[in-house]
Amino acid sequence: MNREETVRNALESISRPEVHYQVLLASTPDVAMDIVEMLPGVKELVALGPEAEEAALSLLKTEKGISANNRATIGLYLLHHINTPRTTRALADAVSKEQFKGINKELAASAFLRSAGFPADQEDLVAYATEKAREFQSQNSELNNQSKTSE
Amino acid sequence: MAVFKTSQGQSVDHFHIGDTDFHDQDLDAHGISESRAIVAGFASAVEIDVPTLRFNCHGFAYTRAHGWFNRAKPFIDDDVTEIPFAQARPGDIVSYRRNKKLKHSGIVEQVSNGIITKVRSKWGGMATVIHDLHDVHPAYGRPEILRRPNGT
Repeated sequence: MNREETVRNALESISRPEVHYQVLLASTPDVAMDIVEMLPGVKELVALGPEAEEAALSLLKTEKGISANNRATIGLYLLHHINTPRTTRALADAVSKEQFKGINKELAASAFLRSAGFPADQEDLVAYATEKAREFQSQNSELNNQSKTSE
Repeated sequence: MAVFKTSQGQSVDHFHIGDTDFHDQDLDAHGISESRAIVAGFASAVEIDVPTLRFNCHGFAYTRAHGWFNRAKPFIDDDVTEIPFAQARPGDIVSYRRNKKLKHSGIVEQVSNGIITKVRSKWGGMATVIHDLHDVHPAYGRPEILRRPNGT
């Protein structure tokens, strides 16, 4: 099976309600991570590493509702294992805008901190991550402006 | 984020539906139906209360379903005392652990000949169910510690 087929099969599996609704068995972010790890298709995407970046990000869509929320939990699990400059920027954006709620808020915070190289063992993880994500956004914006000016 | 206090006055953060950092609304009919389909896959599980995001397992076991609590440690520190499984009785709280970390909490429902036969617990955002001690999702781990609410 090639990469495209692996990704397509994994996403099809994750999109089935009987699969992604299992996330709702989690009472805490920690258990959500354990449950996602056991879902069909997830190990295959993690094994692809950065090649599964697009698939992971596609699960973070901003739709409302529990189904979208479940899929976002799976996407955030993947982003704890797939770290690229693009995923770091996407997480910084989501965390700084406080895109997620409930369990996903803490998962996004810890994924961003790990991805950007900050310690993820803070007592108030979400507040710390939000502050660092906004700093990250601001620095990135300044760098972009500088590179445009020098062109 | 709202605050709830242990018997020793320790504040415990938690969520209610509508809180800024929590879900805007409870499960809709589709969510309830999908949740029930998953719970139905566990042979012993019998629903005793509808699937809801109003409270989770720790909130159910330690606060009479007051809200959604991501951490149970303050309650474990202040409100309960560890006892041997051989002394189990209804109302005790079972801690399910995996890799030595707390994953799930449930209340002992039935004890037969000194052995816990049924537990009542809230499965994340799904239903509150009565189930066999070991018939839970593998991510919940195993029933490893039993505690009794102080003063009971």
